Amino acid sequence: MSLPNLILFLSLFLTGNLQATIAKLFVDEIESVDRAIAASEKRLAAQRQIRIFLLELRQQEDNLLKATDPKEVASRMVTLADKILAMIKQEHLESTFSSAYIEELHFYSSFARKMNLTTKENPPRSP
Amino acid sequence: MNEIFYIDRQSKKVCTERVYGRFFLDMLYGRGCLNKITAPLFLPLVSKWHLLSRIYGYIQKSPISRCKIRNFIRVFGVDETEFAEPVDSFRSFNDFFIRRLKPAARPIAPGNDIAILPADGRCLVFSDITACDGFVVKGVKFCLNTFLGDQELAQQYEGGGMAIIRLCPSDYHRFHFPITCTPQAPLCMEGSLYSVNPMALKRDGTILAKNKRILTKLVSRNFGTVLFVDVGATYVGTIHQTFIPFEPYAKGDEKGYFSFGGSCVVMLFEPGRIQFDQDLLEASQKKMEVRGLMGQTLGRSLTPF
Repeated sequence: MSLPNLILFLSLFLTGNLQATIAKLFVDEIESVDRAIAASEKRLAAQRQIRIFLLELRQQEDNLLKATDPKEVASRMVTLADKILAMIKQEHLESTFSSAYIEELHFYSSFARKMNLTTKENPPRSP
Repeated sequence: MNEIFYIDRQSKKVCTERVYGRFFLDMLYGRGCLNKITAPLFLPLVSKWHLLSRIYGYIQKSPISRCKIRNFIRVFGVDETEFAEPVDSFRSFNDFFIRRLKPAARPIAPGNDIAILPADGRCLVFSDITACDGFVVKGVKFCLNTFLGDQELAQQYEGGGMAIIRLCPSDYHRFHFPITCTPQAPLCMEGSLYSVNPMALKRDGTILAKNKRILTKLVSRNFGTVLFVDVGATYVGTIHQTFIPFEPYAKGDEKGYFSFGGSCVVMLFEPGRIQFDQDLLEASQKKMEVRGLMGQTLGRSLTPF
């Protein structure tokens, strides 16, 4: 038993949670890797969703100035930007994108708030 | 370094511009021997690497930057009696930079058929965009298509009117709606942050189409659909929009503001929609900017009521 495991064992033992401690120490490796795979799959699915949203956002941006119903396009555009921003934050992907692009998403996201179209995950940014 | 001249609209006199950060502008955009070394070295860093703009902006927002305000007001002759809040209330230089003014300081020219200057600044107007080829710099064509990033949209404004209002660091940096209108959602076009000082424009006339800009369509009864483009410039990392899209606004209502730095507003009118004021047209034909204030007349609507 390594030193960190021993410390964990002792600390939990002292707090009376022996059963949980034993379960943690002798967990099945296959279960561990399954959990890691599930987490990776979840992340991959989120990243794929971000990609789909990014493509759609680009399309909405292209359509905005020539749309016959600009309010509809604008609403979709700012909502998408707001969602993308929330997902990027949730997945800790900020470093994947340029700061200028993140700024652009913040810009559109601010309009989502003004137009009452914001997602719950995106708290208002301080001015 | 070449001097920059403009006509003051109130006194009608030709004045020489006091350039803020002249040494750096000269180093980056000048035409001397030394500039052949300094410009290629530092210009890409300053214009394309927004981090520098951000760091500079951060410094301007820090409380320590307050100490520059009094000296700036004195050197550039800024009229502090116009300020809505006293100078001592500004917590940073940026606070001073994005100051509000007393409503009486910028009276709005009346009349539904009158468009106003949306900001304080040096103004150039062109009755026909297609006729202003090579104006900014000889031999370099102002390309509407590149500027708007959309061929179909560019066609709509081909042959229309264009007004360029260049803001200097000493100017009031909030911009307002030039007409009574309903603004649509703005479109952000990422780009560099080159200076929009005439010195820089002389070096590269395509700067306006390269810089970061925000396009907003203003739908109006008297002027048709006006394109309002906020162009960022050196040290203007952020262009703030304070309006809510698809809500009606009156002429002179605030649209947004620029954070610290020089900046520029470009307005495009569809063909046959506006007759610019004669003094602005005459000066522009002589390649001379006119310094006007927000709320002063820009032109008259040509749309019959």
